[in-house]
Amino acid sequence: MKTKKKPLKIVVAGEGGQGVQAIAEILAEAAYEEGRQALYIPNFGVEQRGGVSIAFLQIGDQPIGAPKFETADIVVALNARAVLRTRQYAGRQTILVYDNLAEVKGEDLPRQAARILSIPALETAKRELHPRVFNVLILGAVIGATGVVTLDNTKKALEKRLGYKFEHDPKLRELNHRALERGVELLGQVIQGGKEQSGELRAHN
Amino acid sequence: MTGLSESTSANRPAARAGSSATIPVPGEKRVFMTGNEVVAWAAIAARADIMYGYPITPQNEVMHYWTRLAPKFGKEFLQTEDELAAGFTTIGGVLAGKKAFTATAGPGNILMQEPASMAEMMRLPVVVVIMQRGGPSTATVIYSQQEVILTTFGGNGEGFRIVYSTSGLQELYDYTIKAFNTAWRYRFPVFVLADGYQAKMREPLTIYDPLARGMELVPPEQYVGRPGMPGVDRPPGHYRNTYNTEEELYEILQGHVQEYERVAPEIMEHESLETEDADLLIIAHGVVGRAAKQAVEQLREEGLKVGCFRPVTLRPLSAGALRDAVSRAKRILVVESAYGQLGKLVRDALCGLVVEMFSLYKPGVGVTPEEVVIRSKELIA
Amino acid sequence: MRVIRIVEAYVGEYASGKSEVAINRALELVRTGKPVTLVDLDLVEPCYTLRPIKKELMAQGIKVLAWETRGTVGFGETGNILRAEIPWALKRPGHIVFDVGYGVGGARTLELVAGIDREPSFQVLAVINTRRPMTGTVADIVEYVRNLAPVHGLINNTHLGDETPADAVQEGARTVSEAGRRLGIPVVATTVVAEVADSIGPVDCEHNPVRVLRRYMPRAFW
Repeated sequence: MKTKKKPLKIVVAGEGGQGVQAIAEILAEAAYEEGRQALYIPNFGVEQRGGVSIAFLQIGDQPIGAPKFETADIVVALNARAVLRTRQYAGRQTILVYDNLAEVKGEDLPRQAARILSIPALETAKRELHPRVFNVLILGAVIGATGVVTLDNTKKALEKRLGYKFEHDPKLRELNHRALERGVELLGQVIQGGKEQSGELRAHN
Repeated sequence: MTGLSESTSANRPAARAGSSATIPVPGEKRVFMTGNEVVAWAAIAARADIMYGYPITPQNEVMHYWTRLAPKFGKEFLQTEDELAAGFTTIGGVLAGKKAFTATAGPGNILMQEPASMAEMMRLPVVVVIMQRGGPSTATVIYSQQEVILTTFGGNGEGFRIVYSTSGLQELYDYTIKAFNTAWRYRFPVFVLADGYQAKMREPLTIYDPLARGMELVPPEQYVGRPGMPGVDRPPGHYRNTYNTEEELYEILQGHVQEYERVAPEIMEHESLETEDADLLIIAHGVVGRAAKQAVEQLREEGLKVGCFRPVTLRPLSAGALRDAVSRAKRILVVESAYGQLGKLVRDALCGLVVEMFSLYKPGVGVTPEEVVIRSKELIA
Repeated sequence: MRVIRIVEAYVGEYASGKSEVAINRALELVRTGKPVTLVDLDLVEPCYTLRPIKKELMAQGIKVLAWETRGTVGFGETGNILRAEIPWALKRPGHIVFDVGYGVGGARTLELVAGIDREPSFQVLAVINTRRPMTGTVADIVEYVRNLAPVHGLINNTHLGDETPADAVQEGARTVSEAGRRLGIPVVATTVVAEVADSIGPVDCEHNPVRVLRRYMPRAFW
């Protein structure tokens, strides 16, 4: 009997307003487009702006069981507080990706993680694109790191969610697509600059 | 009735010197009162500072009497727009360091669960008096024991609260005073659970000044507005009822669990009658406990081995003592003016024991000693 | 002055015993052979009124102006519908006895009765139980009665329910009588149950007449 492949476990975390939940929702939608199983839950506080925002996402081929999990395969943290809050989800096989502008203290990083990568996402968004697509860039990075869904299916999911805005202004579509691609590139650059990707993560593609 | 705007300390008249009213109850006095009045007098005797209230039958006279007594003793009162506000203003009073209380019943008790949940989350010493009436919804204005689950576990939390169930006017007086002490000593919300019969009933009782009897009255403490600059002279008071992550909440609740379980043995109370050799153990609370006691007395006169266990605290329930009494009995009979609300608490406490459990459930209807006798005889045959 | 008929209103503190005293007064008067009407003017209390015993009292020859209990149950604090015959009670022949509830209106509730201000022999009697803490001392009673004005007579109904000892009644008589002297209002009677009346005699320690009460109100709890 073939052993069932475990689903890929993703945690995205940041401040309310940074677009954390949007990333996870789009990814979940993309997985669905691809005919895969996805399960997403948010965690957030009562604040209207700012405050805790964490997304738990699992993507796999079998229907997913419980929404909460102990250890993530990849943790993406958009600011320093998010790095601290998501430490408990980083195990020895986990990849942690965080934005390089986040002022993360060394001792706050999960030392047990397999890889810790910092990418210039916000910087790039501000310089080349627009700060508002910062989270789409991050989304690109997640896809680049995991290959869990294709770029095409992600663009479809993006269209489903923001299509009505793109109709009014087709330039936005271009901008978002560019941000996705840029994210993939950024992640690739950082990885090439360091060690090879962990074998475990490849197995999920 | 005094509204808040009228009763700043600047224009509040000082209690008249030399009147019978400078000390709430000088010494002791045997009096003839109705239950609602008893609550008002007991709150005065407990040195409560303020009542927040909203009218609902059958507890209206608590408010009426408090507002008549308030000016004589320099106490305050505020009528709010509904029971939600009554509960929240009571919380406000407590945060300001006042011994604050409120009273309600029936549908008002349902609304009260929202502020009660806040008091549970923040561990605030509010005191709430409940006069149970028929349910669900408006039902009757008369009587029931149908607010047991609502009062013990009615919030959206784990029920870390204290509930006293009184069985008559003397207890109503004693436990209303005790409620303030328990609340301020242990910092959990405290409920005095009575009913429409007790509210309207007229009985003689002894009212007294707890200090004259050598009882301690736990003083209130300010949560906000303490002297000194927050953050400079002292840590700021930061009281939360909301958290951002599951883990944060879990940690806080673990703290509540530990504290509640630690103090529960000090708080729980019960009364037993003839339970050492009882074959049939009757379990009843509040006013129904009186019918049960009378029934036991009569049955014992007839030579039948029946006993009665009356929980006084429904939360925390004296589970140990109950299990003890039950383990000696062959059968238990739960009697209440509800359909198994005390029954649920009893089953939960007895989990693991093997005993036949029977019931006499009369939701919203008074239980007579005769009924209890007849039912007991059926079971003991 | 020849009294044409007796028109009395019994007022008092919540649970002072005014309904009991009013009922017994109505029964005393019905024995004189003249028609007697007993009027329920309790607009607030949902359960302790003479409504539940209306039939029993009617059987004794009293005309009772009151709803059956069934007609009022459920209103609670929302209010009370006044029976149409009540404002015109004084148009009826014979003696009229009013049982006025404790509500915030107090004696002013009587203003609902047409012609009350012109009724020649109209008297308001305040029923006092000195074992009720709000009317426990002379000073409290004086203040209380002053707020009720106008009151024409006081009734000492001091009791502790089933536990009433004779000396409590006598002590009450002294207190109420002293209050009466300060108010300039006479004490009309001391009302007491038969067993205790036996040990006190026809007058109490202040020489107020003792009237024997039969208990009806315990049957009137809803």
